[in-house]
Amino acid sequence: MIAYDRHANFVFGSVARFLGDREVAAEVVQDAFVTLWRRARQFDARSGSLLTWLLAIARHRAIDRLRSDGRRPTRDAIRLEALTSDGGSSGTAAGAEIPRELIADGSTDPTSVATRRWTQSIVRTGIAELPDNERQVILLGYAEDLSQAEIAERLEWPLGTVKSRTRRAMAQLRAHLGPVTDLTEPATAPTPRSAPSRTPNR
Amino acid sequence: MSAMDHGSAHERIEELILDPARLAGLEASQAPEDVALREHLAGCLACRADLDGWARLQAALSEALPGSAAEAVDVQPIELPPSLRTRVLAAVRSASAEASLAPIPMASGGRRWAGFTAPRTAWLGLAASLVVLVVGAGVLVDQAAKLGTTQEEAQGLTAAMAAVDRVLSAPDHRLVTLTTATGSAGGSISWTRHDLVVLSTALAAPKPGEVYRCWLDSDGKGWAVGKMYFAGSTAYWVGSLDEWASFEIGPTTEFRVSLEPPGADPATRSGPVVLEAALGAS
Repeated sequence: MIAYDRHANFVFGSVARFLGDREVAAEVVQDAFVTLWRRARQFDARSGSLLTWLLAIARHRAIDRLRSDGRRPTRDAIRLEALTSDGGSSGTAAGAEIPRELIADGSTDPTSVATRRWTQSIVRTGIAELPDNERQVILLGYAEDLSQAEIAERLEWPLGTVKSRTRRAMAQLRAHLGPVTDLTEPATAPTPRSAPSRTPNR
Repeated sequence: MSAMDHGSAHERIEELILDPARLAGLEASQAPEDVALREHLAGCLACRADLDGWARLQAALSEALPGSAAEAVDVQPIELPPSLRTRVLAAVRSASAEASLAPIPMASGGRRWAGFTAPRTAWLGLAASLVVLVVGAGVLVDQAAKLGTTQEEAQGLTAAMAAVDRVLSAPDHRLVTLTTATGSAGGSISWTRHDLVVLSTALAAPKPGEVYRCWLDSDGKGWAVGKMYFAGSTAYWVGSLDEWASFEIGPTTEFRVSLEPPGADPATRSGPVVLEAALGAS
């Protein structure tokens, strides 16, 4: 069960975020590991990591599950607070609004929406797996668009501490997410939600 | 201004990854250090690729996170259901049992053990665990490809996995439980007329120089047939009966594993027997 012990947290976190339902996510993850067992001979470590393979299996199973339930991830916006350990086992929020990041570019194609949603789920899971203090700096830097100096002020940490924690967090995220998302594909430079008007903080 | 050298460029990139806005503005920036970095990037594919990787990560983070930290509760860790591990293991065992019961066309030929119907639950569970272990070992190899010993271990496990598949696929395979020196169950040995697979989780890793050696004994004679390999807490050995065309597993054949001391003659058993099974009794 090395594969399970090593990867179940990440796979479950990604699927739970994608589906918004812990119980269904558990079924999908179970199915993914059984599929892994059945196809073990097809695994080739040279073509990608086991986690990449597991996530690909889980993604297919999760989308199949959405189809069989007649749901689309855009219509079942996920009440992710319900997915935490304190939030109970059911997280689907009927009638919740479509996440704005999914409709910002007008994309309503189910496949592309599901793909984006899946990638977001994986990235969010990667962030969730960071140590608390590293997760904090990433959230403030990317969710609130704070500069390193502003983060230092907000958290009352030395600027050097904020920078070192950000570097560690970014390095871990890149190592963890690079092989399992489309981060290896060419992309344009990031566009922050706020204009880059702040004063450099170094 | 002269272009940056490689080290300075990476230092600059490390600064830029701290601030999405500054990285996004790199191409338009007229700051001397940004101009110098662009000149370096124009001729250095490695640094360009490194910077692009960071840019993609920043883009993914910006897209994945909600608009304010207050809404970011979804990036808190999600607790794995405690029962899921047991459920997965049970499901894998069930799948392995189904696989073993699938009809496989076999070449004609007499089998001395055609009537074998022994329970196989424990063995299948061990085999299923091994399979998951094999895949996990593949990851270890992937992550530490330069560690020759790890790679060798994974290759051995892969071979064991293939043998497990072959044995499970044969409807007339045979298996018996291995017992330890204290008489408790210590693993299983299973075979067809082609393959022989031994799995055990009852053996402690040998000390340096020691080796767990496998023996087939029959009619007062013994043959050293191999040694146990380890992957984590699982010890295994896979043999090919095809290689021993003159050897027959008969009613008096016994399989044993002994713990041989450093320097022991590999052809003569001198250490204590730690696992054994009567193959003819199955």
